[in-house]
Amino acid sequence: MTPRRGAAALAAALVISVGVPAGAYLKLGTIVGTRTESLRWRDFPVRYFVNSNGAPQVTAQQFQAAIARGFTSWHNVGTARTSSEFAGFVQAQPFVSDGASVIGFQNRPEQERTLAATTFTVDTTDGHILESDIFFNSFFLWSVADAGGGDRFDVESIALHETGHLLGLSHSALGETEQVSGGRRVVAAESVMFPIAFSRGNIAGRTLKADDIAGISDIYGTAGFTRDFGSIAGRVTKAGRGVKGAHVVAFATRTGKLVGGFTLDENGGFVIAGLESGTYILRAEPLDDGDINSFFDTGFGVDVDFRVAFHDRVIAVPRGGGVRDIEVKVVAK
Amino acid sequence: MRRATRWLPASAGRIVLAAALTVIAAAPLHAQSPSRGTVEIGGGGAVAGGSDLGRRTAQLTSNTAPSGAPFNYFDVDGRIKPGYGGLARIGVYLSSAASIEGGVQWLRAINSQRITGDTEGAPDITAEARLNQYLFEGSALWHFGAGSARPFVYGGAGYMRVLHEGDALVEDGVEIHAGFGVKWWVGRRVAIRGDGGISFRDLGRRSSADEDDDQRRTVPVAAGSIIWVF
Repeated sequence: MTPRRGAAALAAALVISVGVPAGAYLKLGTIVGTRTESLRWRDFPVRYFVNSNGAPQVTAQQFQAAIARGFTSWHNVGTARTSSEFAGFVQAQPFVSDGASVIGFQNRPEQERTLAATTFTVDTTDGHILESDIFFNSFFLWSVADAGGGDRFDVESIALHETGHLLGLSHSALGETEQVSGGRRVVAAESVMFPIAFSRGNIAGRTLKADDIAGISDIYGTAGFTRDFGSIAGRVTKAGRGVKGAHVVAFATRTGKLVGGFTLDENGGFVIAGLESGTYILRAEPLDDGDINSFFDTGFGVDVDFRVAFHDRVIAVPRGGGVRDIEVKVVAK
Repeated sequence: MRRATRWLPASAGRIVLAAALTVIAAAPLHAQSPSRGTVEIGGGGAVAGGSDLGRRTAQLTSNTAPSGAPFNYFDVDGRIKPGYGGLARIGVYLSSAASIEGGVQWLRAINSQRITGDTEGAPDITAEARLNQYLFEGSALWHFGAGSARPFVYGGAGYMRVLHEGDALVEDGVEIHAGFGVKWWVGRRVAIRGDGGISFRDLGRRSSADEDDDQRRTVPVAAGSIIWVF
């Protein structure tokens, strides 16, 4: 059985997890009237509390320090402006809509495939986040050891993923998985926002990748990000018709960086933002390396009946500009 | 890791030699030794050899404890194919042997990226894009002899500007060149010029925010032109 990091917008009468049709991979969004708005914080720093209950071999102080390192990794992204502030230890539990963002352990044996999850309370008039809680499932064994904990999951790696959700990011599909008994196992990934966690003892998830940096910058980008980074927009088509829910990856031929996105409408339209100036290869693949509901709501209508394909042109992305009308043609399996 | 090509490819010698032989084989009809102050203008065709951009592998981080290892997603072998185009130059003789000149050169080339080894079995494919290369150059020339076929050596530098397909992405940088050639006088004021050499190009100035981005290339170049003096 392979535990997953939970869906980003679980719960509680708060928000529907929908892809926002712009930007690098998926941002979380909510429907405001007839519009879909990105979930984002209006004010920084984000103040968060940590539940004072630790877990076996992880004290509350160690837990808080790992959470802080996770936040700091996001705050250190040079092309985005975010910040957070630890407000103190509390007895309050996460997943209670009390106006305070609380992060803590809870023992949830019934969620035997969920390592951690994030919920939101959102201002439904404009999509701004009012509160976001994160729970870590103490049904599993956890570690805060610098070099990883052998047979334990790494708190900092999972904290980096969940704090990404807290800031408004959804899942990335930039990874490969294999089917094992009881679920899927991640073989490799190039985004901390991939929905399936690395195995016990692995600390590779402590480092943000290009895909993550593009995503957070797309939400909270600095003026320099807007000025210096570009985008690719286009369609994925099969026999002339749009493919919905395709995963599209841009590969920088000079730097080797990978940034992903999705087609989010019936026309197969996609936008991949946050790309450094340079030349790119585009690859389109079906969304078959994770549960589709890790990315989209049930009923979104993802088409996975096509073969992986590359675009036949090298795409040149200018600094601060966009390339449009790219068509990636795929064929049915 | 990408392998940068910093050395003159083996094909360079062949191209340069071919350019030289082409003009030497033609028999001179008239001789001329321009004097100080003579102005020379010319125009013709040019070719630049291709360059290897190296192989880069798209990699994911594998799920191996504790810190992961590279997992190959797919491979990309890049190459700039040879470029062809035209040139125009104007020069002035400082003496019968020495001259300086400036010019502009336009070449059309192809950025070719061969994609193989996809982890999910995507068909191998070559993705391409057109490049327009503009070179604004200045050179000093030294001529030998006084016959109708006058060999010369040259060296200089320039500013290079590359527009990628769609003209949205512009790269620019410096260029340094050196080589040799022959001017074959076919009339009192008219000559055919052939030259070849090497061109070192560094386009790293505005291409990418990544400091590892290596944009230095050395390519063989050759040109043939008609020149007129007055």
